[in-house]
Amino acid sequence: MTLNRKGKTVRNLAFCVLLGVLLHALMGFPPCTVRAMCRQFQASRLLAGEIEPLHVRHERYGYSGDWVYRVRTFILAKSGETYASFLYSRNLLQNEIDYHYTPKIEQNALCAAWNGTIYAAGPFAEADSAILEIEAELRNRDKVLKSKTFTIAGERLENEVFGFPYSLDMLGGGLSGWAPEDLPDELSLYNIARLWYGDYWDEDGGHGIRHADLPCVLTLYDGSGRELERYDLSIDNYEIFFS
Amino acid sequence: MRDEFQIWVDAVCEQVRFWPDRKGIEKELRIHYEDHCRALERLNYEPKLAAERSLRAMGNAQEVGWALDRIHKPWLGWLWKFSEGTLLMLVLIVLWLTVFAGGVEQLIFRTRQQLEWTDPPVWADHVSLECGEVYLAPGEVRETGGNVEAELQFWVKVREPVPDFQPWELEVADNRGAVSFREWGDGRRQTSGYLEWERVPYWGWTRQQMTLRLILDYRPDWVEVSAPGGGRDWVLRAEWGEEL
Repeated sequence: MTLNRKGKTVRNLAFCVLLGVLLHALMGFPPCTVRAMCRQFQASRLLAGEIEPLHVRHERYGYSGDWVYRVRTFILAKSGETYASFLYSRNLLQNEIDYHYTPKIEQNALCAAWNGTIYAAGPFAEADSAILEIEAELRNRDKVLKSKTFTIAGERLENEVFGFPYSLDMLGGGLSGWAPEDLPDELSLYNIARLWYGDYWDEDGGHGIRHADLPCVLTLYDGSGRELERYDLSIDNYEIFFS
Repeated sequence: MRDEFQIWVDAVCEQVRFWPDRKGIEKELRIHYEDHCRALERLNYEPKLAAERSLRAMGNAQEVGWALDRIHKPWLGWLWKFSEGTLLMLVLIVLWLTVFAGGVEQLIFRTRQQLEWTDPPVWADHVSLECGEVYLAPGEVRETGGNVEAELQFWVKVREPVPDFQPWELEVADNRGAVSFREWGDGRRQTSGYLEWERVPYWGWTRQQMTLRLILDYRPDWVEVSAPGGGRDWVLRAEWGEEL
């Protein structure tokens, strides 16, 4: 039976729908919206309660080897009393979890850093302001050689989220060759997160940066400056410098 | 007169708004006109007269053009072109994904994983979540190489397809405390007191059955698997009876 133009158009569109579904499946059902990303994250981690996004941040970025820019979406979300942070990366048709940022899941409150901002998420609706103190330590085996505490004033981003900006001022490669204890004291959080946690492998002559949990104390204040609550949280040093 | 035919057919095609069809229309009209000319020439008409009569028989250019425009609707024409282009593009993308990007392998493996699902036994511990159902049942416990290997079966059924599933973020504990992944300590790999999740290249679309293995130096009485984050928003428990 020869189809007229209308018939051919309907046939083509039907095939497009079928191929579209197949393509969607072949690409692993990439989520198109922030809510869909949250639902997919919830299902892949088996989080219990209904998940809602608390704060979303989109950025354009290109990894080496990419032909086109990606759009990265950093999400802070809440499922019951569980808070989570994760990153999705969209490249043309594909949108998937980006493991350049390791997802975090914490109970009651969460501290997560990404690309120049440390985020604190929790039941902070009552607080007017917040201060975050992050402690870094330079150790030689079990001995603490130096320690430094960074205090950052927070900026309310959402009802349950405060943001604490930090500078992404990477110092020149020359300092990477220094022994950590010889480094100058006036280093930013970004540089200390890298340079104080290096491991040197004398046999191979190479070095790497080990993961370390930096203790953070989040203090919440009301409008009159009275302290409301304190939270003991932590951040992995890689979250601070590896974006 | 043939030049006059070109003038005539240009006037017809000007009325057809869907311009991609104009070439085809001109071709059809030209065939019709030339057939008519040949027919008249076979009846001993002079070529010039045959052409003149044939052109007159084609009708008024504008009216013919309007009639053709009603048939060759622009919206349908553009929709048809769009459907052809989209279909071609989708075919190429799907071909590339299946041939070069491992798409076929993924489709087959995930579908097989999905179909190989067997329902959990009735005694399996079960919890219903917002995103799906989860089950846990005790499996075999055996002694190998000085260690005790305790196996558990874990079933997950979610409501929407997930590209990957991350059981390694779940909290696991037995009657002696938390159990986590194998670690290095003092330059040596842990030989007991750790867990392993069965690894597969791809998960099923919405259903997955997997094995959790605990390598211990004692026989556990029970094992609990709970939600990630330490909040114990949900907990599943598998117990072993008295050792036979």
